[in-house]
Amino acid sequence: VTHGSTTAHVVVDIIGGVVGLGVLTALCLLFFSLISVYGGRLSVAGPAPDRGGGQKDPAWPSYLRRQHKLDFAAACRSSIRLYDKAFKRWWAKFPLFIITWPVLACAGIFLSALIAVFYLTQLAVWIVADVSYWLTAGAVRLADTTYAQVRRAQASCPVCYEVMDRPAYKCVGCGALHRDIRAGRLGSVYRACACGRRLPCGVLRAAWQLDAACQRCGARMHRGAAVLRDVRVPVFGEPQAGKTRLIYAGFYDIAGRANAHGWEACFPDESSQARADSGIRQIISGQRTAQTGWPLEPALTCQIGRGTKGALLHAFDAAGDRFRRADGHDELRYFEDGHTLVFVVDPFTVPGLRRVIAAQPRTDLINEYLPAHPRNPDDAYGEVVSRLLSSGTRTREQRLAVVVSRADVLLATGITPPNGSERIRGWLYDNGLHNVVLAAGREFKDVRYFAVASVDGTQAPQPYAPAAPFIWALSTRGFNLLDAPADPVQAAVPVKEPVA
Amino acid sequence: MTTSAPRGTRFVPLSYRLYRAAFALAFVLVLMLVGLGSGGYGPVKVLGGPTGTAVAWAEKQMGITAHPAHRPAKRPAKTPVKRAAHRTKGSRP
Repeated sequence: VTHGSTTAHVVVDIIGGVVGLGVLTALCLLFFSLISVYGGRLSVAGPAPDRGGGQKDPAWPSYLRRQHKLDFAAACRSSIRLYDKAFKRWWAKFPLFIITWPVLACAGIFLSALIAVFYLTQLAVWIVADVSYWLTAGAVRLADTTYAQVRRAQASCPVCYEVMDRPAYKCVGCGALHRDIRAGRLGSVYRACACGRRLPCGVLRAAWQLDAACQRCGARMHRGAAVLRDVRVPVFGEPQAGKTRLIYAGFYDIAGRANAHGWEACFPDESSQARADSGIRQIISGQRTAQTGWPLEPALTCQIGRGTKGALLHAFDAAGDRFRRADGHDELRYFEDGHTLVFVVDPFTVPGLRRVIAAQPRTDLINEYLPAHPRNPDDAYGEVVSRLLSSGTRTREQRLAVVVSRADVLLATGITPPNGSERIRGWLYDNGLHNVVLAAGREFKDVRYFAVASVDGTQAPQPYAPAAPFIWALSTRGFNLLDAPADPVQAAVPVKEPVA
Repeated sequence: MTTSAPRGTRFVPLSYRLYRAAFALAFVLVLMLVGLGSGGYGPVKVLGGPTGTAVAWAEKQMGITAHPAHRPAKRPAKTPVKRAAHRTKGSRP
């Protein structure tokens, strides 16, 4: 080949043409593969669990976790398959293979180079996208965690009493349970359920948009659980001490006060609403409250306020007989997670008061309330608290409200209960409950004493409002009922007026 | 719970579509940048002119400055101009 000769130019042009056709062929093969893979169906099913078993929720993992690798592999396989097929075409047979095979050989080299470039591009995009993804997911998670710690937000199941950091959430499309809705491998801001429905990530948003369910028993939980302040108040005491009546009267009083201060108050679940309607009706009409049966009932829940400023107040009630028997106590799991325990004392069973009342001339009122064979409230307190301590419950982190019920009946018998926690404490101490007073101060973080009249709050003799122990319980969790919201709202779901 | 869609499912989440588009677009952009960086005409060169590029490169490597067909056409030879007979002596520079 002589430089500058026509023969040399022809040879070079042929070589160049072959190489150029090879490049074109390689580009076409790769682009066909990319279009077929990246514009088509998934190469592998999406919402299957990870191999490690870490994923439990029926949702599609983020594209950056698994699918991008599968798509890349599928594109490579597809382009190689097309390349192989090219050798079997008619234009790759004799005699055309003299031209096409060199072209395909060049195409193979360039296809490898293009796949390498594609891989490097994927890697660069994946790094940038993944860093952005985890930064976003981290911000969402941090917001969730910070909010939960600052607001002491938890979720408690009203049925099985389980307390959890976050409930499970049901997909609005298929009803599948998502047990960990936090931002993570399944999504940073949104996640796609297996059914294709887009769900929000993070408890702060999911709490208002999705139905919550208990992680343990699957029971439906309140809207806003784990975002609203959760205040749990187990109530205990001797049988017929006035526990159930105190709860209904107290909640009715709280709802009225909340509405008066511009808060929205309601009973957020059907069970609570139905029981509250019945109980409040008895309070209004002055009837005696029916004795609580042995089977455990769901917590009576009252929601005060809405949005992030609201609170859920749960009262846990049980038959007094349960505190006397060991088998009845085992199911009362809510004591371990209670924030403020309410110990209800029937004043007619307090030894000192009982002696004074028994010495009075008998009236129908005294005959009705003075028990023939009273049991010292000391016993009920001792049984409950000793079981709590033996089960490992840290009562030093809990608060106790000692509530003397039936202040209105005491007034009718001529005995005026004192006003104020310290005075009531001394009054009970002097009348034979010194063991309870001394032990409570030693065993609980904070103890307050109340005297209440479990009647309609608007008619309760001052200062014996039945809401007082619950208002204190709310305040110990950072919710002050008297602090009206900045933008007071009328109750959208008002407490149902009891039917007279 | 381990529900799984059937292999080759038709449903593709929106986020998957967006990510796929981003990956493919990034690759095309890289190819265009490579084309531009090689001194050609970017996408035109990458998609339409590899043959010409390869030929030009090979010619350059072999020391062939230009193919006869690529050489610029020679200027036509100037037609000799007859000296005007009436030119006077004083008009010469």
